[in-house]
Amino acid sequence: MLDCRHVLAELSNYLDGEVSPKLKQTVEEHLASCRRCSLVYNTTRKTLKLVTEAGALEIPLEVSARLRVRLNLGKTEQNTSGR
Amino acid sequence: MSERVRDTKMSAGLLAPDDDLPLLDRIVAGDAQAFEELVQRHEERVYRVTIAITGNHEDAEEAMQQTFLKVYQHLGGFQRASKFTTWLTRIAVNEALQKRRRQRVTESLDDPRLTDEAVMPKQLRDWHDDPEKIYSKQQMREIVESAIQSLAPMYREVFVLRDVQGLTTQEAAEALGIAVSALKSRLLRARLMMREALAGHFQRPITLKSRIFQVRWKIQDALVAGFR
Repeated sequence: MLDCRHVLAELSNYLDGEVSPKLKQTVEEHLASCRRCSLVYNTTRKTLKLVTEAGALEIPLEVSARLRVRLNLGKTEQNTSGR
Repeated sequence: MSERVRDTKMSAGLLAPDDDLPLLDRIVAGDAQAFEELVQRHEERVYRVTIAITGNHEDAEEAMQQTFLKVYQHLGGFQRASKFTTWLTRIAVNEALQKRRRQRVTESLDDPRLTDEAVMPKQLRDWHDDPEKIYSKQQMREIVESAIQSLAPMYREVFVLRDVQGLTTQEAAEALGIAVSALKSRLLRARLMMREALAGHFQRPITLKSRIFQVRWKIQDALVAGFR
């Protein structure tokens, strides 16, 4: 049986499905019997779900617009200086 | 990887076909509109990488510009052995890292030498079932982005590439030029720190039951520490 620290160390790999079938089963047995690790697992999984759903770090419209201006200038400079 | 090996792997389902290749062919043939399409398709990917690594908009925007200019200038040399997005992300990482190295910061940008104790979960109350119903979409985005910005750079870049941008562990490690084991170690810490940062917004109120559990866990921790 794994202790809490070992389960915590494997939490990320377990969330990503990157543990062996044997380790997966051991982690699941621990989570079923340990309220604290179960809480940490569930809230970490929820964290990743919320991050995905939040659409974090979408490019702001003004940044996108400035990029186009900058790239047009860059291409003009490159074309005139490179030839 | 040779074309033949790549084709074999593709037909075996080991590699997804690269959707960007037709667009790249048009750019190489001199189609200016195709380059604009490429920028539009990938600007968010590049923005996420550069803002995660530099931590500020000014440097992120300059790194974005340099990234797309390099893509334009060096596209003819792109070997197509890897996916275009892998190559693009790698360029964006390098440009952003160059910006970061020039930043005059007094804080340590690299390993803050967090102890295991520092990343041990401390917020130990259940969360609301539907935090999405408590906050608006805009508020949720601000809360999440603020939490991401609170991470030290070495954790922020890993978290953004892996969990915001959705790269695989291997792809993220390759883009950052670090070992998969190092990426996994940082990712675990980043995720636990993100959980801690978000917990304050999403936890249920303290109840007598949750208080009793917390006291019990503290006693358990103290006993375990005493045995070491």
